[in-house]
Amino acid sequence: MENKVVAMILAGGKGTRLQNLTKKNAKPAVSFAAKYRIIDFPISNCANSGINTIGILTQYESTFLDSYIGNGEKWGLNGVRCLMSSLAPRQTEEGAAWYSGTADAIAQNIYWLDQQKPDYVVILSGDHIYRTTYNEMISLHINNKADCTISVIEVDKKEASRFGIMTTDAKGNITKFEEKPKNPTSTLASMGVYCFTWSTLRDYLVKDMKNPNSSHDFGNDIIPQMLKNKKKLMAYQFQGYWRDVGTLASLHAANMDVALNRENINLFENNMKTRIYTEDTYSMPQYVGSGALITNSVVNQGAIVLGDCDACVISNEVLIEKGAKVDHAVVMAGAIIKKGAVVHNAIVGPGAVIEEKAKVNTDSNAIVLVS
Amino acid sequence: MKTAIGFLNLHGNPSLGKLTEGRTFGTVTFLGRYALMDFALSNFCNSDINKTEILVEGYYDSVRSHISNGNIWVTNTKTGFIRPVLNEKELHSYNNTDIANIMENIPADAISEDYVVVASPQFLMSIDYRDVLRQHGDTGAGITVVYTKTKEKDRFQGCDNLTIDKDGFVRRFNKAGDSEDEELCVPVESYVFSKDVFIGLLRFSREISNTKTTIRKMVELYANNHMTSVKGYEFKGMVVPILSLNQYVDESFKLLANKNRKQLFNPEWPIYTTTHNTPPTRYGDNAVVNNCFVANGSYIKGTVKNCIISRDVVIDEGAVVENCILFTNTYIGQRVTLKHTVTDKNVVINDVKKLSGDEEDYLLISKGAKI
Repeated sequence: MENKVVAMILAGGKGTRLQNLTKKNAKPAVSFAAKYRIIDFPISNCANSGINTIGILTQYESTFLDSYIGNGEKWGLNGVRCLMSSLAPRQTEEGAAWYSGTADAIAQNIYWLDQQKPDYVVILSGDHIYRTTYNEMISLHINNKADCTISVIEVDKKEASRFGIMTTDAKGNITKFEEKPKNPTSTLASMGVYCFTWSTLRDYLVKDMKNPNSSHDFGNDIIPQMLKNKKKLMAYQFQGYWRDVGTLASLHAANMDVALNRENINLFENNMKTRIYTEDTYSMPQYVGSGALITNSVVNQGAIVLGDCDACVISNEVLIEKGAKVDHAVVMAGAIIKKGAVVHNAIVGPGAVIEEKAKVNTDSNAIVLVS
Repeated sequence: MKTAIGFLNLHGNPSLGKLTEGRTFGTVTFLGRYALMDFALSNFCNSDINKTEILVEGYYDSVRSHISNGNIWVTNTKTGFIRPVLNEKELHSYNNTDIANIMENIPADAISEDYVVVASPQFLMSIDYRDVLRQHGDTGAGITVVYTKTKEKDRFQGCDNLTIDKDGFVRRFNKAGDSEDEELCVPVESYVFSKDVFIGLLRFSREISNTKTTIRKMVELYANNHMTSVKGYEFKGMVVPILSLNQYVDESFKLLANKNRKQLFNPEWPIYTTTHNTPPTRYGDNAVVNNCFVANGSYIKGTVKNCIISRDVVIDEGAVVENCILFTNTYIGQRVTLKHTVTDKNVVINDVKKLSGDEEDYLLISKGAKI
């Protein structure tokens, strides 16, 4: 292979806004779309892009995530010339420190990265839902001899201040980058997906580590510094479905996109010849009972549905008893919704039990978490 | 600690008509998710039997592709293995028996375990062989024959009935059909042998120069002639016999009932199978699904009642499917009505708007048919 690409997936965040779902669980390991965990998406994307060396930067509640990642077998990344490493903060010759920012997490693993001898490093976020291959972005980067290529997506003007916003020239060169601007002048948002030429990134990381005023963040520090130094930064326009699922509402909304098969969602259809891989559960086939009514929903193996479900995402080993009425709900693995219970606009956490005739959020449109 | 090796016997399994024309019995789909032989393989694995030889009679590829690298049913993948063996020399001859296969492929001195456990895929059960092995060791038996007590003679047609004395010795193999007993003791083609007895039995089978002889016939010979201590082990759990195509259909549907399902499946005793990376099943806006098993990867937009739906099946708008078993990748077109039918893999029913077998005589549609 001419150019070696290594992917680094940032998976250390606490995900406080997901409340109890991340109480004992890292955000990237939160369940999504009845069968998957969020991190399955970027890892599968790497696997489908032919990227065989992946470092996963873990920190918050890293044990479960590390075990889940394992040797990469779930995504086929245990073959010859594959390497899947969990890179949690650790004691080294230089001392010991937590990862203090996205760039710091990579900087603390320069030694590991050097050993892999990459030409290019792709930095990904462990909590985004999308299906793609990174090959087009990497080709664009290589063909333009860029130092950094950032994957961007068009967002609504009113949403723009939540993102890193870019301005580009006609050729796609980034001319301006603002992290979460109050008055955005563009609607091109950074997806937190970067392709760097390793030698350049390495220099910037080393310098950034020595800068006491830096927050050691790609969006706040590394990218602005590169722009300032007139490095070649390109924007790669991403087409397709992409969601950041950092809040209960956005996690619920993205699950509803799956349940309702909303127009541009292309996470699972076979037309792209790529699949999202995940852990298999030793479940029975799902069973739908005689009195059940399931519409506009996705249901995973092992679930038993005896009640009514509309617009639901139902994970493995979930039991929905007779007479229960569930709508616009994300029901995670092993949860039980008992007879006569009514559940609306909710996320029911793993193993949660909703008692007989209980009413959950029946008169509100806000999203609630039951855990 | 005593050790055991498993032999999964795919010789002499029943014919399921067209379903076993292109594949071996053990790889026929069951409940939309499993292959029939998954039960026996999982019983071995759950019973800490970490090495399994699969005695393949023919259609080696169907076995090979189902078991993949075999690691699904193995605990330690270095010390354990699943190995399919085929007697290529006798492939199309009457001498292609289980014993001939073992003699050809497995040298007697290669068996280093204390016990040999033989199982066949046509009797589905969740049996803990650790208990059978315990009894076998405690009683000092040379051979232990696993049997089930039953009053349902119709379900065990063509099977044997054991005469067992008060001390638990198997005195005779009789034809179940000839029996006037109210309750039968039906052997379920599963045996435990002490290693020396097993090797002696193989050698003796050659001495009597009957090349067509089988493990079952030899056990019968040993029992009827008191050639070693042959004990019975009564398995008290549910046994699901699959001895004909009609029975395959009947027994599949019986398991839709919760009371039957609970007896065969035990959450503590998982049945492992190959993963296919299929997304969860999607239910459309107008889907009506009652009393069905549904595997992952399917898309149901029509009406489905009392059915068993395998992976990647699409049931289009307005279609009505009742009392059917649909194998992987079946497509049922818009407004098609299908009743009492079994479709093999990759069947498309679109041009004909009504197809129906009846309860006594199911319509069977061959693999890949376009109707």
